[in-house]
Parts: sequence; C-alpha cells; structure tokens
Amino acid sequence: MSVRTIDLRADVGEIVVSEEEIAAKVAELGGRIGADYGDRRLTLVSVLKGSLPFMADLMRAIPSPVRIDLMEVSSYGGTTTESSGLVRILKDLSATIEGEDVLIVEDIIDTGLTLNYLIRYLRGKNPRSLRICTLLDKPARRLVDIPVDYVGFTIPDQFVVGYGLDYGEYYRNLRFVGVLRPEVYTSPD
Amino acid sequence: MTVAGRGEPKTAGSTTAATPARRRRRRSRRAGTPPPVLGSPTVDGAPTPVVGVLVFPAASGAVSGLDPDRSDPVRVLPAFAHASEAEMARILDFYRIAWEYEPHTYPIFWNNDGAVTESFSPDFWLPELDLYLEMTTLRQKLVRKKNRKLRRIRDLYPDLRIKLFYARDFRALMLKFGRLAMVDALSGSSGQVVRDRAAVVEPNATAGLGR
Repeated sequence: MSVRTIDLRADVGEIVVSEEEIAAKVAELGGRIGADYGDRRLTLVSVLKGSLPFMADLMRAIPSPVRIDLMEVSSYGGTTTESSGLVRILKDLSATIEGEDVLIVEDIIDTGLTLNYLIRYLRGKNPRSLRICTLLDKPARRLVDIPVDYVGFTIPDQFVVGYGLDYGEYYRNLRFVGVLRPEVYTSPD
Repeated sequence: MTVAGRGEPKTAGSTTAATPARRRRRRSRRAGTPPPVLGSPTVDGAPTPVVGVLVFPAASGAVSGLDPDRSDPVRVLPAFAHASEAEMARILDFYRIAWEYEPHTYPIFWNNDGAVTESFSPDFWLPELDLYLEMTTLRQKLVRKKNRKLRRIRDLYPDLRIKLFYARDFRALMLKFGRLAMVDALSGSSGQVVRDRAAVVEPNATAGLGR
C-alpha cells in the first residue's frame, strides 16, 4: 500500500490565522494577562501536545512572574486509550497548584469535552483561581459551555492545522493556522 | 394514561412519540416478544430510561477520576435507534459526561380534545450540563421533519437547551477523533441498524489525533 506524501504547505488551503496575526495576538493576550495578574505569581498549565507553541510564545509575552507545567489528557479514539474507554490523565502536573493562580493554556476549544474534564480535575487540586486562555475558539462545535477568559481568535467551523494543531500528529510545526484540504483526510491512503 | 399538558414533559414510558426505536419496541411487544432490556419496568410496564452513570467523582472532593476501573459502570446499554447514537454514548462515557437516553418526551401537537397527537423525545439528556442532544444524521427528508419538530418544541418550550447534531457535525466530530473512516457506517440510512460494537470499529481507522 502506498503511503500518501505529506506536503506541509500544499495540504493546507486557506490560511485562517497568519503568523503575523498570531504574533500580534499573543502579545496582546500576554499584555492583558499581565495587567490582570500584576505581580501575582501565575502558573501556566499547557495541555499537550497542541498548545506547546502557543504556550512557548505566550509565557514570554506575560510580564508577570510565571511558572509553567504540562499536562496530557487522552483523547477519544486515541490508540493509547482504547483499552480504558475513559478519558485519563496521561501526564499529570509536576508541582502542586494548591493556593496558586492557574491559567490553562489551550490551543483550541471546540466541543469542550476535554477541557470540561480537565477543569474538574484541576479544581480538585484547590487552586486559588483557575482561568482559561485559548488561542482558537470554535463555538459552533461546543457541547459543554465553558466560560473562557482569554480568547485569541474565534474561528469558523473548519478543520484547522498548524501552530501546534495536528492531523495524524503532523502539521504542528506550521507557523500559521490553516484549513486542511479535505482530500488529505478523505484520501484512501 | 394521563396526558401531559402543554409545557409539561413526560418521562420515558408514557410517551406517544413514534421514534423508530419505539416503533420497534411496540411491534416486538405486540408480537409477544419481550422488549429490549432497558431497565426495571415501571408500574405501567414501560421501560425506565437508561442512564449513563459515569459521574465524575468531584462531589467527594477527591480526585479519583484517574482510575477507570473505579468508575466504569456495569450497565445494559439501551437499544439505540441509530449507530451514531451509540457512538455518541461512547464519546460521552469516555469524557465522563452523565447521560440518559430519551428520558423525556415533550408533547408538541394536540387534537381538539386535548389529546397529544405528536410528541418529541430528544435523544440524550445530559443532566450535569442541563442540555439535550439530538442526533439528526439520517436522510434529508427525515432531517426536514425533525427540524419542523424542533422549531415547534423551541416555540413551546423556549427554556429547553437542545444541541442539534447534523450529519456534518457528526462527521466533524469523527474527524476530530480520527474516526472519519467510520462515518459511513455510523450515519445515514446504513447507520440505522445498530451493529455489534466490534463490527463498527474500523480496523484501519486513523490514529486518534493528539490535540
């Protein structure tokens, strides 16, 4: 069976958010977060793997004292989760967040299912505050209504990749966010 | 049987709705065969709604959601009317969202005598989210009919929160979860016969996406 060749740029049709727009928005969000938290210490919790580029850029745009931590949550349909049938924490926090101000950093919120689970999990760790920052919001897909404190871009209901967002684990390293051509995921290969 | 007044939902078992699943149950009862096992019968002999019992244990304050064995329920799944509904139930289970299958029926049309002539039972009730989910992944003709019912129910019951899942929404969900190859088996008319789970799992499905 032939394996389809991945062409990072050609596989993406319309660019939804350009590299320049991302940079400007990250700077804006960092400024807002810094203004809101001031000198208070803030823990940024990045949800692997998609939010890594956003986290890396955002943390440098926030003037407040921040520390970072990483979490990974299993995804429905993921090969590592077939046996359990239930969402699981694949990588937990490395430090306590009790009494801390915590900001969840997400790449995209669509159904809200994963985030809903994560919020309930983190609330159980008794942080002082728990807020959410997402680069992309796709409200058309929302199943669980979750108040989001910081939103970069509200995007239409299209399957997007790039800047951390993947399809089959690829395309994360694109510097922009774009719509994946349907023929890429409908191809028999 | 009492007739629910306008604005009053009826619980499962007292319904007059005629979903394909209910028609099948009625036919099977008339034929003298037992209905699908949905739970303990109520006093009028009708089945009780089947409840997704995966409730996140946040109420205890303990963070115990990591061990799937501790909260994995043992229950009999309902006889879903459509394979897409069974898949949605698995997704809700996975994300520990409690659900009930068609627990409420809302009358939407009455005759001159006040008797209910048509009613509507949303597919899923998510009690923690105060939300109904309605799957409309069937043929376009049936989608139009369902849209008409939904307009009516929104007029009569404006406080109800109902999220519609059209075929395109379901397709997008499957794409997100790397299960696009399953869409044909789970939607449209081919999805109306619920298959054994092992039969609908696509052996070469795209690996789940990492986002």
